[in-house]
Amino acid sequence: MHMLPGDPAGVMLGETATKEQIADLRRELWLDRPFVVQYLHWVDNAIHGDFGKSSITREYIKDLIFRSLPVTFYLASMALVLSVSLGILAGIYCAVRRGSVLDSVISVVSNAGLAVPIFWLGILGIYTFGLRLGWLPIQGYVSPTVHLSESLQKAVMPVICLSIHGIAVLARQTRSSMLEVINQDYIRTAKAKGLKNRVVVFKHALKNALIPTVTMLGLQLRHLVGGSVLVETVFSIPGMGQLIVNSAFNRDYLVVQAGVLLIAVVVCFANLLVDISYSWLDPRVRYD
Amino acid sequence: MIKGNRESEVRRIARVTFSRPIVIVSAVMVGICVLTASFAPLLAPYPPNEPNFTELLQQPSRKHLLGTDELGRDLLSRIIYGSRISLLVGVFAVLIAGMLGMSLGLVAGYFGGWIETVIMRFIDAVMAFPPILLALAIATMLGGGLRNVLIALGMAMLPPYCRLMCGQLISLKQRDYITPARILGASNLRIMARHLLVNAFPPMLVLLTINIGTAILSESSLSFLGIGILPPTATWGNMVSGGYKHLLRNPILSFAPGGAILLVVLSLNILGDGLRDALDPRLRGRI
Repeated sequence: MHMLPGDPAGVMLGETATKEQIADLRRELWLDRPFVVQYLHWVDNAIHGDFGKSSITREYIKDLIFRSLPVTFYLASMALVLSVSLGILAGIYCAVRRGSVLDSVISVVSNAGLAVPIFWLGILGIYTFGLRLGWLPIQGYVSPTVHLSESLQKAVMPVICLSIHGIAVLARQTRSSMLEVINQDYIRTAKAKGLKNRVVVFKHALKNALIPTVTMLGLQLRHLVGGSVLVETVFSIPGMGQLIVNSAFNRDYLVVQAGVLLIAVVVCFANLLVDISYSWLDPRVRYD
Repeated sequence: MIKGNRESEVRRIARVTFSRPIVIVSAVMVGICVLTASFAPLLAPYPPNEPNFTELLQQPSRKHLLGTDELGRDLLSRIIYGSRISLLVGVFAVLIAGMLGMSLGLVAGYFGGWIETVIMRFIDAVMAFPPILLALAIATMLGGGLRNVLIALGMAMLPPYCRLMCGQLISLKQRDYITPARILGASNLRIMARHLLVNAFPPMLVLLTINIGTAILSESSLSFLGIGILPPTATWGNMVSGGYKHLLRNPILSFAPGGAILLVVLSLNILGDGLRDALDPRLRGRI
């Protein structure tokens, strides 16, 4: 807010605002106090869940967020599950069947998955599966508590678009770390003991190969949340992404600030869970 | 002798980088894109921003190879001109992020102590924000346009450079050649620039190459959202967004610029992978 040229209250109210309106808003936003006081006041309010009011709708920002956050959480969590399950399975297959045709195909698809703009992928999906084939709805969101099957139908394309980057990253990472692990002596010993290939791969190799994959998963969460901004715009889904984009368009800075901050907090919390999971994957890792 | 060694090292890097045919194909694709951007005025059959209201939303034909948009502008010409913005943003956003990030990482890693703590905690805080959201927030505050998009993407992409540089310096500054340089009276600035930066640079080069594709994707995302570089300037992102409104009638308006983004970013990523194979010591001898 303080980076804005001119008076933030004036910018927020637009050119038609009177001096009295600007003065009122400055008082309401504490802009007439010293910077440090303003900041401490904002932190105090933010900790108590009060981010102020939207300058456009005059609604409390926390109400706007409470309405949008579950939508994004619903889509992002499904995308995360899809990314983790498909990405890791594809990575394991590629490592175990290194050099096979499917390994090459998955490698090419993974590279493309990292390069594809997800808003474009969404548009391709809308055109092909929505407009041409008529298999899937093209826009909107229905809560799973209202109508589960319609909700799932509407979520298919957004979730696939959101998860494509994660699948690609996790498949590449799992393949490379599995390749390192399956060439180690203890895996050879396990095979020599006569253990089944499935047991060797899933019980002995995978757990050790998962640490770099889990690190990548932590980083991936940021992309997942960032991607939701684009996917929600393409599919007209009223989640956090669309709230932030619409607020950015309307120059509703307080909403943008609160939305971005909240997402950062969620990402930090998710990264904390990732860090904690290291000690489960590798008992040598201990946090005192 | 040293010159000879350096030449053979460059040759080795080139040989390993281009050892796979797909990397050669990608390098050719990137080369074509650079040439297209450089000679856009010669290659584009029509001016990119000039409306022609007699030829609105034309299908692909011999006159307009990819058709025209809702203002009658030739799509192929706009894609050709759009490559300029994409490459410009890709290279300069990465250079801004790289220079700022490397400088901060260099100072943090070299001096250590409270300076490192302050810089790295700042970087940690920036890393908590998803890059596209941070760029979006900065671009919202600063407004659209090329300069502001470069600043927004430069800031959002800064953390990995700083962390990588700082991490490298922790081991590099313990090397034997640093102490003689210090005894000979070299200043901190000279040690950082002449000895540490040069040795820490190869992994940074890999990161810079790979991130050009990321910057192009991020710019196109911002332009798609309408917060980046705004029409009538032709960028691939705002062309996909503009074409989305006419998806049923003329889908190529969205498909073609999006396909261009995919091809260029894919080529840059594969080229970056090839360069990483050549510069990452852990992979040496295995390729």
